[in-house]
Amino acid sequence: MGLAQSNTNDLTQMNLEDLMNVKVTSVSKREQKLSRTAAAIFVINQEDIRRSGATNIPDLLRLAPGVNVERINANSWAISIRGFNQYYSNKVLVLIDGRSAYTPTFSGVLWDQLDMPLEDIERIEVIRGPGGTVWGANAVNGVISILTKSSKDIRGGLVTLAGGSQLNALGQVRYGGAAGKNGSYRVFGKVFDIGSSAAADGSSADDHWRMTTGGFRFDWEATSRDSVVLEGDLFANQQHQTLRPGYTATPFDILSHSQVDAAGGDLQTRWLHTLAAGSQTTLQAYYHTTRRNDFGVPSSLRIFDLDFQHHLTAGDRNEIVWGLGYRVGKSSYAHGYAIRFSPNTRTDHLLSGFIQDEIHLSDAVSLTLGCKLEHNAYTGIEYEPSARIAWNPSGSGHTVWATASRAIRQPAFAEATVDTPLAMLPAGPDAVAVLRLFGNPHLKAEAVLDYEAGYRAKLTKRVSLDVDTFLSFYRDLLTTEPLPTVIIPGSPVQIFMPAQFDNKARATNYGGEASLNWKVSSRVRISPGYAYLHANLRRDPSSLGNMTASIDKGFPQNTFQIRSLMNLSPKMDFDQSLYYRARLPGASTPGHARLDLRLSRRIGEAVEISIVGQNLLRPSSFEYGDANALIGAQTVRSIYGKLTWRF
Amino acid sequence: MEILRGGSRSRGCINRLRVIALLGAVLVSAAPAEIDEYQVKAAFLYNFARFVEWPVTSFSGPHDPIVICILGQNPFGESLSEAIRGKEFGGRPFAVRLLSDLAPKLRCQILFVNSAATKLFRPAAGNLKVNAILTVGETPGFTEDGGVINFKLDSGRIHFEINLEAAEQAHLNISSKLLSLAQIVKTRRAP
Repeated sequence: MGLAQSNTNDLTQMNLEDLMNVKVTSVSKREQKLSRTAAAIFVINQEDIRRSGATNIPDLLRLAPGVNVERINANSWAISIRGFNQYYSNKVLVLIDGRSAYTPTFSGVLWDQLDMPLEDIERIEVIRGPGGTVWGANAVNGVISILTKSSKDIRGGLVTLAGGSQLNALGQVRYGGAAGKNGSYRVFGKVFDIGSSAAADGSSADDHWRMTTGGFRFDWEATSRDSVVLEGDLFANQQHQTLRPGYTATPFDILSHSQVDAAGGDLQTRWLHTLAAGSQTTLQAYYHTTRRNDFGVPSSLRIFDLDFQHHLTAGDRNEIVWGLGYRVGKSSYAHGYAIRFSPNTRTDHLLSGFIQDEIHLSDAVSLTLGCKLEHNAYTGIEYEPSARIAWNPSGSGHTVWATASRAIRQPAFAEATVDTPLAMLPAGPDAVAVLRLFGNPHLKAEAVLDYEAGYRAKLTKRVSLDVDTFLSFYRDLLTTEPLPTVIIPGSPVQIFMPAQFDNKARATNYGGEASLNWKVSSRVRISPGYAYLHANLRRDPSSLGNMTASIDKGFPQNTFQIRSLMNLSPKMDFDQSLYYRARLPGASTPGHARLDLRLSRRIGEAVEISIVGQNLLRPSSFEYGDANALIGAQTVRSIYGKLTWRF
Repeated sequence: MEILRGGSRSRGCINRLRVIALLGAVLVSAAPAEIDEYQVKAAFLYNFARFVEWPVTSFSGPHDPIVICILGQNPFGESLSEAIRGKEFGGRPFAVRLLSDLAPKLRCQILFVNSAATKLFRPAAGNLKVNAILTVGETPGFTEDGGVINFKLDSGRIHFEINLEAAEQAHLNISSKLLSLAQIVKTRRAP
């Protein structure tokens, strides 16, 4: 304790043994590099996570400017970066320790299947803008990379118990320790139960959710040049939702309350090897499996992925990374009444290779050129090049950067094969109109050409600033196009109006994000963030359909957040965060503001007690409203208490 | 019980804090509880000088400074300059120099090579030994490639390894005190 309190100037007076016992906070090499990177990056670290009071990953993402987070009900979210946000948001790639959480079935992320003890997250890196060159297809508008802590860094036990007005109960146990001379491990189990929120009329929205997760991570320093990580998890979900099925005639909709059961797991391993010349290779493999029954239709997904990367330096000036990847995924659906797929099972292969060279043109200027080539089962070969330039005079703390890049989103299983009734409408005394949506196996990949520039600076010892601006040209965006109408005689007469997915829209979007981090004193940190987005979408002249498949409720023009983290005393924190998103033009979804407060008190080294209030501004309000067939629920003001015990 | 007491105290604090926030008062800081990695590494570099003996030829006069050079990006910020300010050892003051590349003749006693600069170091490793320079790195494999001392981060604490053979080739005499705290490694030979 005495050592940690001693001030900087005294360090040189300490003897070597004591110095070796000083616990240090280290900015990882990666973070140093990030501060010089030519890309719009925002890092949410463990302190931000702990002090946010969030109990799930979607709420954590509200900390990052430019990320759109909309709660649909207690267990469903629409999350995207720089717009195109909807329940099935498809332009953001999400990675957990390098494993893609992107579901190829419908292109997107099932956020309700993504959980872990938030205390075990090292940091979340949010990269806005295309990341296709390195990460591959679907990193169109950005990448969210969740990195968990090495088991080397967290030893001992952690028990968390929480409960409150909306969060019925949360319990988690984690334990970590040494495994042999050079290894370490941790195991965890977590369960939570979230109560139903409010429907439009104030009654229960029937969106109760219970999730159980368990997992492990094993880190092994095999030699001084080899390290191996093995990690895995299992989860089981039971969640309720309310749907408006398309097979009952409007206005005689019968809302159906259904339970979604999902269960699955992941196993992944990564081997990092440092070669003689200081170059590094990474070999990663993972397996993912899920079973789920959305809309009453049982489905399963299995993915196996193998990735190799080699990082080397060539001469004084070139840092080269190249890699190869292979992924095989099998999506399978049972035939359902509400929704069906034809064919209902597909096995798709994805092959990719990329090379990127960071050229140090001078001490201050580096140019990064790279390209990815990818072969997918729907559109064949796709290319995703990028050029990035950064100016970063040594020691100045300023970085100015600019990029130009292209990225694509490959079509999803559902877009190619779906067959679902959208609506049935009375069309006269003895006639009914049936709208039905069909997949299109000949879809093209959606593509973006994106130009960005940014400035990152440590203005003073206490203030750092990050601003960027972008201009993005999208083409071949998804539309729903009508097919010829068919009249089926009978009683009643059926006016059959089929529609099919196609690529007949474009968009020109521009905007920017800014974030500031101000250490007012060693006790207070204030970080505001702002995002501006202007979207201009238009259908191609040949399009007769609509763009709802791409935009749903449209784009928020302004998003703003501010956080203040205060240490009232060495044992007490008081943290506040305010989040605001301007109105969404579609369906006139009004602006949404959210205030969260957290007060925590540590008792000794081992115990922390906190009280968190969430959504404090209003008793209840809709954030997003309905998302297609999924009926939205109101977010209600809530409070919970949490006890954390470390041993 | 503990929970209840914690709760009621907390509410008192919210009120107190509202007042503070309204006044816009900037809270005065106490000493930081966390120490930056490079502040500690700076203290190590200073300490190494006390446990290493350089050949007399390494200096041109008896009061020549002990020069700590940093190759490439300076990760220390001001902390190294602050650590050595006003310090001396054996009648020699300390100095810090920033290098952007490695000239054949270097006026350095200690050369710190951060990870990004390792690629500059490797081809020059042999030459540095001739110059009697204590090379200090922070990259896995640095000592095996012929560096003398390498920092390692172990569970948030800084440890180091020493390549004794490289030290001898550089005509550096490392005290047994320093060696006893280090992990000893050998130069890796090409197969």
